[in-house]
Amino acid sequence: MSKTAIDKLLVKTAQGDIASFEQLYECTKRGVFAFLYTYLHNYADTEDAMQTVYLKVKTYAPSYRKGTNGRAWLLEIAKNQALNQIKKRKREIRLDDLGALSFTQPEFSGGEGVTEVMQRILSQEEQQIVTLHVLWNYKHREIAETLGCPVGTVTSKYKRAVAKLKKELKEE
Amino acid sequence: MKSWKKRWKLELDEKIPKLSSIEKETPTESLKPEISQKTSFFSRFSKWIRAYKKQFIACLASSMAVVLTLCIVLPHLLTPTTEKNTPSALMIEINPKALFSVDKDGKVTKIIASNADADLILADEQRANEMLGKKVEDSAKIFVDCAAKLGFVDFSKNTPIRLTGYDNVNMTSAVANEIQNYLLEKGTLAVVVKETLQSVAFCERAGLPTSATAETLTQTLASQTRLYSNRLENWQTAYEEIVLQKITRNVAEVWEENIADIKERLGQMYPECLPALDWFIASLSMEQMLDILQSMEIQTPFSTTLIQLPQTVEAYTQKLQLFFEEEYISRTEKYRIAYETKREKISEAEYQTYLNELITEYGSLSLYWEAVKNN
Repeated sequence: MSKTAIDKLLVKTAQGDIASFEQLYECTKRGVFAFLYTYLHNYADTEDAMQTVYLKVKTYAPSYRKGTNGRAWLLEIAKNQALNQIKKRKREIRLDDLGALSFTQPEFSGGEGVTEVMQRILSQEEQQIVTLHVLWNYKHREIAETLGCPVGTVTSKYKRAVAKLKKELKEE
Repeated sequence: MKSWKKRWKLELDEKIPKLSSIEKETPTESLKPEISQKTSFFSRFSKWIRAYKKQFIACLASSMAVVLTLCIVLPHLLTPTTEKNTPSALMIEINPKALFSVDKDGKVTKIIASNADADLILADEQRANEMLGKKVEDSAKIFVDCAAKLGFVDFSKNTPIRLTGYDNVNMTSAVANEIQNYLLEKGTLAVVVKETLQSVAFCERAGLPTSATAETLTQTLASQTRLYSNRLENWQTAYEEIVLQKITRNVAEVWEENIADIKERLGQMYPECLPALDWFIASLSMEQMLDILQSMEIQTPFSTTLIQLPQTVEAYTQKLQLFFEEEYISRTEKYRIAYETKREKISEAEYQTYLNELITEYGSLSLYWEAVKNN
């Protein structure tokens, strides 16, 4: 969905238009979910975070300034929610388990989804770059501005991530 | 088989919950008073428009006609015209340096690069041809804009530009005004230093054989090849200076950006070198560095074929063309944000103040140019 369309839907949501809010949810849910998942790494926490994010979007839509970047505004809410959630819960990092996951994971047979594969083989930054480009239609330079890194780095990391995914998912 | 993107989107659609009634029914924050006032003003304005529709349209149409007429007439009245019936030449120096051959009607018939940076702009024949057949002030502006896209004109650092006209004061002034206005619109205080020289001095500055008349100069320019790098006699040395040094710098930058991943990779490929990894990295050749980057699927802007020295003049020309194409893409991407950043237009008053300060400090704009270029 384009920046302009999101902008219009946010403005209408701010005016109390429920239909616009539903449309906004339908058009942005994939991108928000995938973006949250890159931080939270499990579906339960991501679903909880999704609900809170859209509650905040609905509540604070009037504070969104028309004509500024609606996509970035939404993503900022999602990122802050994910970081808050991470701080609240305890994270157990079991290196041995992660190592076993990398080397004994069976070949992809359709049981493991693309999201799980991405989490397993890509770094967090690579996951975010792929999510922003594929689900949010961000251009590489917009991703570079968002993540604060050079455009060349974004381009090379995106290409590398896609190559890894295609190889793992057995695509040409 | 569906592509991974389609599969991913379908999986997400299955996993993502529907919008709950809690989210739908959550109230928004109440609208702030300023928004209500704006709505009220807008509705009053709309009513006024509906009531006086015909008069409003007539007023708008006549205003637009006046503005349009002024836009067409004023530039012709205010801009000095070039002298007619005399061919001429113009040199633009930013860091790219180029010579423009100008016919008696003030139109550009040929553009020649005077250094390798200008080759970057003129290597693409279509891009070079866009500047031909136009009035010299328009052609020069296209050249300067291209230089800005490639990062040679730094709007944040007031990069000065020097124009040297061959024996035609009006032409030089016309071009200087056009480029200066362009720079002020872009929000930079960069100064255009303009000079008009007679034949011997102009040819000396341009690095051309001395031409006694404007016609001879035109013939000399017509006989030159467009690209500077194609005119060099020692093309093997030129290739090292123009191409290889640049590629080496770029590979070093990419290497540095990815050094953590590279070290990890090298540690896996050559575990025996781990105790002296930095020394091992320092001993790698350019080909080895590029192989390692390629194996890690890290892109560099340049094709690996360019690091092999050309063996013939034809191979040299082909490799140069490829290099300029890739360097053009790389640089426009690198400087895109700086070029596209919106800056406030500089006012005439602010510009004049800046000019006066420069003249006070350096004595003249020509001396300012010399001081900047010598530093």
